[in-house]
Formats: sequence, structure tokens, C-alpha cells
Amino acid sequence: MIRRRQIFTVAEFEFLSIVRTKGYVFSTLGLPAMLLLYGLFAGWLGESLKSQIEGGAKVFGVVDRAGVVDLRQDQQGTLLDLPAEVRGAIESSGVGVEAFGPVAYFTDTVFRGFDDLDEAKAALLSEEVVAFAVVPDDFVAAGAIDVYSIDGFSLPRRTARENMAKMLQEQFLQQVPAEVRDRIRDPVSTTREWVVDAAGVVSPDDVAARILRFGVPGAFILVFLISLLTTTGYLVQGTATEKENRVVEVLLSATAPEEILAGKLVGLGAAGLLQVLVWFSMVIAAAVLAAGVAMAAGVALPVKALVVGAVFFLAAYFFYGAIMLGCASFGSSQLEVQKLAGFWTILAAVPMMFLPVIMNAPHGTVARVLSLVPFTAPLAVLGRVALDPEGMAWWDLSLSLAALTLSTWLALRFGARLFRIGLLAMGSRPKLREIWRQARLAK
Amino acid sequence: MPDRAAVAFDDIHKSYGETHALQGVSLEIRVGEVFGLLGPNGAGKTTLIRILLDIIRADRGSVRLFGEALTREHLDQIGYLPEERGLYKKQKIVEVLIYFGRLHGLSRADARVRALHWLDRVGLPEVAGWKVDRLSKGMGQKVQVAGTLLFDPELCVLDEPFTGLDPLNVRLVQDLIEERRDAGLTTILSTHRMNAVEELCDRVALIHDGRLMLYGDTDAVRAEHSGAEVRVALGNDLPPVPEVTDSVLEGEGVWRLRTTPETTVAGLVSALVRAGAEVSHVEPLLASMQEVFVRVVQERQRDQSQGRESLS
Repeated sequence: MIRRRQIFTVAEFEFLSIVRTKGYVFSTLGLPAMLLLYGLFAGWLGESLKSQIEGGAKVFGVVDRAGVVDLRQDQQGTLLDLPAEVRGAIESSGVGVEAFGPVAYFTDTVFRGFDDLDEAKAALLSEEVVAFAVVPDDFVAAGAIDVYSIDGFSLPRRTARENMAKMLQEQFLQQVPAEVRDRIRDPVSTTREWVVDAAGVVSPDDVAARILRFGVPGAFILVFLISLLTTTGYLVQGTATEKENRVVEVLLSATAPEEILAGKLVGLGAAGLLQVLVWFSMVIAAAVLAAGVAMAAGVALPVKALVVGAVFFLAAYFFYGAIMLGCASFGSSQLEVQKLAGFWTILAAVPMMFLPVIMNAPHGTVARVLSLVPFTAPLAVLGRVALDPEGMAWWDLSLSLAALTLSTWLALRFGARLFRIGLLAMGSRPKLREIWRQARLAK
Repeated sequence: MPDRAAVAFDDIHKSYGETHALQGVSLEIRVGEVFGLLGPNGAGKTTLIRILLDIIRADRGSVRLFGEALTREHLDQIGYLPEERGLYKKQKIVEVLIYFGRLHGLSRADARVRALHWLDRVGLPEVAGWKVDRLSKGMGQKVQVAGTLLFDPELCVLDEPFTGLDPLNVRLVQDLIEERRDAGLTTILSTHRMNAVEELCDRVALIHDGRLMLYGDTDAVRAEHSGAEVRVALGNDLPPVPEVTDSVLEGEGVWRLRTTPETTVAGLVSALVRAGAEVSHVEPLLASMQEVFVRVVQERQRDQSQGRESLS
């Protein structure tokens, strides 16, 4: 009979042992903190570049021999419009479009006209301009310009060429009717996409929303997988340490292998769950901050996926944990244990390879088969529910959960047997046939 | 000393594949005694201990503890110091001891009090807050002894408890074992230090090749395997008598005499007195446990090799 007191004691010790380690604290708080710092840095960098763009426009001279440019006054670029759907989503969130900064072309360049080469050269030498271009007589036919600068580095050539091209394009556009100009600048400014379902019903297909809808479940699955692997990693690492330290026999003299296995699964699972909770709290906090934008784009927080995810996380953790612990118990060093457990880690990640297929058809044959195989079910089901919360029928979900629960029960029983044999196996590792025989004999 | 059995092994068999680790071992360990479980390496001692601790199960036979069939609940009453032992290197010593205590049913508070008490008992009160990896080998051994005894187990199994200890600390551990006997607690001592067995063990069992070769009171076992040797103290010279086949003068008037196999101690004394010797002290000499061990194991090995030769 399994003693709950022993399980609790082992669980408490394992939990406290792991959460007090620097590695755990760093990965739990440090990793998100690093991501936050990275975000802050990226934001600062963006702001910094923006201020450089706005504040540091450079003057570029133009000597127009072809007579195609009207530069009686200095010319500077204008803001480029955001795509309509993005602008709409941002505006409906109540956040000013300005908050996103200018998306502009040649705002960093002011074009100034000069009558001749000498005048432009003098301006260059007096640093009034950083460079100047000469538009030759045959420009319209040849499309070539000459650029002059002091050292060749004052203005990046690509920027100069692109900005010059834009400015010339704008000049040419002044010669066509106003209503045509926009279409020349941006022939297809908006694409309205529609989806026709099997019943022939037509509904709008919002690309931005679709990207976000796939992105959120994708990120969700990834966090789930990382959490699963991290938590099971703690499990096998702890067992290796006990074998290396030779503590195992003392434990076995007081506690049954099944109780140690269960205690480790509970204690380290709790540590893993705590970590996941911290990570998800941060993700959700970030999501709440961005909720306005996300909701406007038609993205809902995958609440059903969160609930199903929690259930499947536990089942998957116990399933993989029991198998990995059972196998890892045969290793006599950290390295050997990692090798023994590594195979299962790869199996757990298999659904990631099928992610495009699942995304395309969340309830197709491949997705359904993956949902019934215990090794792939957790991620497959999670992906399906996150992608299409209402589309997965209850019987489909129940069938998958039943298969996984049954497999978990078997894994716990078999894992405990392997664990009992493996913990005492010192020195050379028994052959697979012997392990199988012992597992069947173990009481 | 009460004769009630603390442990009763009955016809224990255990095999690992083709290897027969134990072949019908039956023995009893009495409450309150120090019992020596002896045998050469690979004899089956560890297997027997693991069966007692329910770490592995016997293929056949039964184990009774304090008159009851062995269950996991009994594990709370058993302290075990394995031969292959260690501690959690990155943990604080007091935390490890508390953990071991709690695994045997103590509350956290009680386990802490006892942990500190036992660290004091083994002369290491200052290490409670240390991480395990700061300990020297000998200190580690003593902490492990403390961890084994801190819940005052009814039954304690000590497998090579003296390894790595200096003579002073060997004495300390021996004193702790004797204290347990005085308190009526049972100890199973598995060791290759035969002098410690002679000093500490009330009874012994010697296992070889999975079979029980010797079993009984320590002195009785020694007497059974002793040659006909007697130490006598004489007030005058040793007279020649036919019962004495060899003699060694050990000190002033003290002789170590080897006698003919059929000679009894009383027969020897009367022969000496008849021959004019002034006998003031007579002491039958027992074989040391070391001699008993070597003799029994070598005889067994000789029998086995003869058996193999006759088969071939």
C-alpha cells in the first residue's frame, strides 16, 4: 500500500531542494526578466533611432540639368500610411497611431536645389550639404545620376539612391492627375480577403487576425513543451544526483520505490507548475496590456486551451515523468541519465513537426491520430483546442484524455517497476532483455 | 535478555538470473542483542539485508519482524546504514538529517531537535548548518551514523559502520552500539572487522555462497571451532605429560598448551597435578572470529573445488 505521508515528505523535500537552487530561480524569474530587458532595450533602440531620424535629417544637394525637379523650396519626405487593417485595429484600441512612431521614407533627407556644380561643390565643402547629386541632361532616357560627397561615407549610398528615387518619383507624379497618383504609388493598397466554407458561406478573412490567432496557440504550445521538458528534466537530474551521491539505498530503506517515484513526481511537478505559472502570469500580463490590439484583431485569449492545457499538462507530465524516471534510474551519472531520458524528450516534441498540418486542419486525420497516441496527444490536443476552441468535439477530447490517462496509469506502474530495479543497478547497466524480465518479475 | 525474535528469516531464497544469492537461509535475531552478520564479499549478506528492508523481495520464504509479517509500516522502526552510502552534497546537514527523520515518521520539529542532539552525540555540533560537501570523509561517516540512529530505531542495520573512521571514532561508534544494547534495542552488525565482532556481538551468523554456514552465540561458535588449546599458570616448571602435544611459554609461569583432541580441561589439570605441577589458573583458549571465519570459508571453498573435481 502506498503511504501518502511518505509521498508528501519526499515531495516537500524535492520541491524545496529544487526551488532553492540558483538555476531554478534564474530560469523562473531571470528568463522572463531577460526577455523584459530585451523588450525594453528594443523599445529604447527604436526610440533612439526615431529621434535620430526626426532630429538628424541631412541636407542633400541636387543640381538638376534635366529640368525634372522642382526644388525652389527644400523638400522632405512624408509619413507613409500604415496598412488600413493595422491602422484600424490600432485606432479601435484607443491607442494613438502616433504611439507607433512614423513609418516614413526619406524623412532623414532634405533635398535642396543648386543652380550649378560649383555652387553645390561650395555647399559640400562648407558642410551645408552632406552630398549632392547631379541629374544629367539625358536622365529621363538613361535614368543615371551622379552623386558627389567628401569621403563617400557621409550619406549611405543606398539611402541616397532610394531617397533620390522617391523624390524624383514624387516629382514625376505631379504631372499626372491626382486620382491616379495614389494608384501609381500603391497600386493595391488594401486586400480584402474572404473565406468560403464547405457550406458556401462567405466570411471575411482577416490576415492580421489570422496571424495572431495562429501565433498565440503556437506560443502557447511552445511554452507548454518547454515547461514539460524543464520539469521532467528536474526529475531525471534529481534521480541521477541521488544515485551519484549514493543516497538511494538509505531512501529505499525507509520508503518504497513507488512512494519515492510518486513523491518526486509530485514535488518536482509542483516546482515545474510553479515555474509555468510564473511564466504564464507574465505572458497573460503582457497579453492583458496588449488585449485592446489583440481583441480588435479578432484574437481571444485561449481560455479553453488554458483549462485543457492544465489537465493535459498534468497527465503528460506524469506520463513522461514516470517513463523518464524509470529509464533514467538505470543511469549512474548525469550524462548517462540524460542520454537515457533524451529519447523521450524527442518523442514529446514530435507534434511540433506536424504543427503546420495541425494548423491547416485542426480536426483532420493527422491531428486526430496524433491526439490518440499518448506520446503526442498532449501537444496535439493543446494545439487543436488553441486553434479552434469550439471545433473539437467533447467525445474527441474525452477519447484522447481517456487514452492518455490509461497510458499514464500504465506508465506509472511500469515506471515504478523500472525505478525499483534501476535504483539498485550500480555499475554496468543491465541489458534491455534483463530489464524487461525484471520489470515483469518485480513486485 | 529476552529471547523474543526481533527478526525471523525463514527459508529465504533469492536468485538474480542464474546466480543463487540466497539458498534457504533461516535464522532469528533476538530483541536487544547485537547480531553479527558475517560472510565474505558476495556471500549474500546485502541481499538478506535488502530483503529485510523490503527493498527487494525474496523468491521464497518469509520475514517476520517483532512477530509480525514484514510490511512497509515496519520500515519506520528500522535504521539502515548501507555500505554504499552518501548524502546530498548541496544540502545543509541538518536539513538532510531532518529529511531522514521525517521519512521514519518524525515530525519536522522533532526531527530537528533529534538531529541537533545526534550531531552533538557524534561530536559534530558545529556542522549542522554546513553544506554536506564541506565534510571530510570521517565526518561524513559520523553524520551518516547520526542519521541512522536519530529516530532511535527498534532495529538497526549497520553495514561496515567503521569504514573510514580513526580508532577514536571506531570506539565512539562501538559505544553507541553498546548503548543500544543496554537500552534493549536490536542491532545487526555486518562487518569484516572480526575484533569488533568479538567485542560487540552476542550472536553471529556466517553466510557463504548464499548458505548459512555458522549460527549461534559468539563464544559458542568460537569454542566449537577452537583447537585443543589451554592457557595455564604454573607455580613451578611444566612437567612432561602425554596429554600435552605442544607448549609455548608466554610469560613468567604462563604456558599456552596444545593438547590431544580427546583431552578435556579437567583431564589436563588432573594430569598436570599428578605430574607435580602447581596449577594456579586454567583458561581454555577460544579461536578468534578471524580464525573461525577463515577456517569456515576455506573449508567451504575446498569442499566446492573437490566437488567440481569429482564431477569432472
